[in-house]
Amino acid sequence: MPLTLKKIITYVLLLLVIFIAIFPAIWMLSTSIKPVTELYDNPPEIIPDGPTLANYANVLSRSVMLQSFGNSVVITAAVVVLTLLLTSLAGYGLARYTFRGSKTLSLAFLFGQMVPSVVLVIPLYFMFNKFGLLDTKFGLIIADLSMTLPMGIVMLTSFFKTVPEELEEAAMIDGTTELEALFRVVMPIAKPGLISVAIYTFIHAWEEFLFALNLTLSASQRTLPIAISTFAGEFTVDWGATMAASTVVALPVLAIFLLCNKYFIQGLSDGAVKG
Amino acid sequence: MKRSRKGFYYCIPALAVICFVSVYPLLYTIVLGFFNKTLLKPQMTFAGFEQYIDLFTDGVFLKSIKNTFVWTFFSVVFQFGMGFAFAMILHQGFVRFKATFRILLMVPWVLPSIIGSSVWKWMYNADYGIINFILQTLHLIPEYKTWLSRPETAMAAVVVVNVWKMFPFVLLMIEAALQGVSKDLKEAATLDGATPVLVFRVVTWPAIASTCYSLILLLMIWTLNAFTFVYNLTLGGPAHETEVLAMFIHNKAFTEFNFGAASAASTVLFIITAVVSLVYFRFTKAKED
Repeated sequence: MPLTLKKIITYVLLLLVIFIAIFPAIWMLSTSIKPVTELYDNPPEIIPDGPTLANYANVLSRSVMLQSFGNSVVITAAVVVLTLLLTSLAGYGLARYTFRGSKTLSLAFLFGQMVPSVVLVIPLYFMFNKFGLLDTKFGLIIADLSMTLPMGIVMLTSFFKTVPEELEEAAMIDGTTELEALFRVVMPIAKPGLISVAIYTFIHAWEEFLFALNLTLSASQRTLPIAISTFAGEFTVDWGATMAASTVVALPVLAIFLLCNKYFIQGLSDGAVKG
Repeated sequence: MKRSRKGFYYCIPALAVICFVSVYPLLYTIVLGFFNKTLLKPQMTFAGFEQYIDLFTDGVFLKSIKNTFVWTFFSVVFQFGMGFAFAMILHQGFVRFKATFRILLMVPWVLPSIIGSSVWKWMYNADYGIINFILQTLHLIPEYKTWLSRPETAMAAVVVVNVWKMFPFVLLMIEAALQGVSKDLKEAATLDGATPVLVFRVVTWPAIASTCYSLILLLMIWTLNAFTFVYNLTLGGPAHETEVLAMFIHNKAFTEFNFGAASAASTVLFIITAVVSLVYFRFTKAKED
């Protein structure tokens, strides 16, 4: 096959697959700026004749949406901070020390990634009910940790192993404690690893659906994904507003991903696939 | 690596949280599977294997097992197949703008599942959906279809969304693995007159095989556990056609409030996932040794 033909076929296939990958996002944006009169046009158009922000105004003027947005921000931020803190400590312990059961513990953390969240949600419902954590942000935060901690620990253990031990040893000879050395010497060097854990955790917590659906009940504790889901249910016909709301949820994730995509791909391949 | 119990102390905070939100609930589920507990009878009463026997004689449960198998099998085959094929295409030396391609391809994966499923639901819309429009314009379907509420198409429609979401991840992981394949070996083999197929079999495949196996197992685990797409697109309908195990458990627990039966079904799902996970560990361990 001549090279030019091969090139043409390659690029055509790649453009086709990229079209498939991003078309839903484009269609979401397109629908979100369509006035109601254009939603049901035949043939449908990607760029509307009279683009409008009315759908966004509609969505953002609902107090429920704003409150959910706030809840999602608080919960996601707390999950990211707690995950980074706890996984740094555990990852460091496992990367630098061996102890009785350390192999088993690493394996258990790896296994933790595999536990289906639907299996956990029923007992969590009863436990949270008993401890007064049901329908609270705090409850949702620690429930989310069940999914984010195992993967974070696995990723950071392999990352910390790449940081030379001599650096901390030198710092400790100068009189710093081991914990200080971890925070001041090791963590800055392992920044790419911490960033990938943070992004992974952010995306996970931001889109978490099953726990939020069953462990929160009242509108005041609802997160954005649940608000969107009930929103779509209430106004099944108002696709413009639903897509505007979806765009609001998607934008922070897309923005963070575009800013940090380098770390992201590397970290995931280290954490998930290499094991 | 030092040998000291100190390492364990570092793990205690994370371990404590995981025990509270993961280990204890898991044990709770397994125990609850042997007890009757419903909304009307909240007191736990011992039931032995009764709920398991009920489950395995329940047509809906058996159907959900079958659906889970179909859902996982077709999702993983297409996620992996598409990811693999396009990784090979993207990896070719002459392709420019690779970084841009990679970023654009990741969009489905970073888009929250709830958003992805809302958009697809709108695209599948029976009266105004863009998918119906495109397929009819291309003369692939004679008239608009209700993709998500017809028993013949519902499962395929949900699988398509799951494939769309995950194939980019496979693509990037395999492409990263391909970059680790020795160029010298490939060139040497080509100079010796090996055909591209033979070069692939002898040089490329051995270098990426373990990544591929790990990926397949991870995809299986993720797909077994996936809940959001089915919940948002079909709620398990029409007539239980897309009710996978995760959806069945959710319905039993939070629609019928039969917590005992839901826990028994959870235990079944957990066992299936655990078996797949053990195979995954065998692979990752074999790689290390």
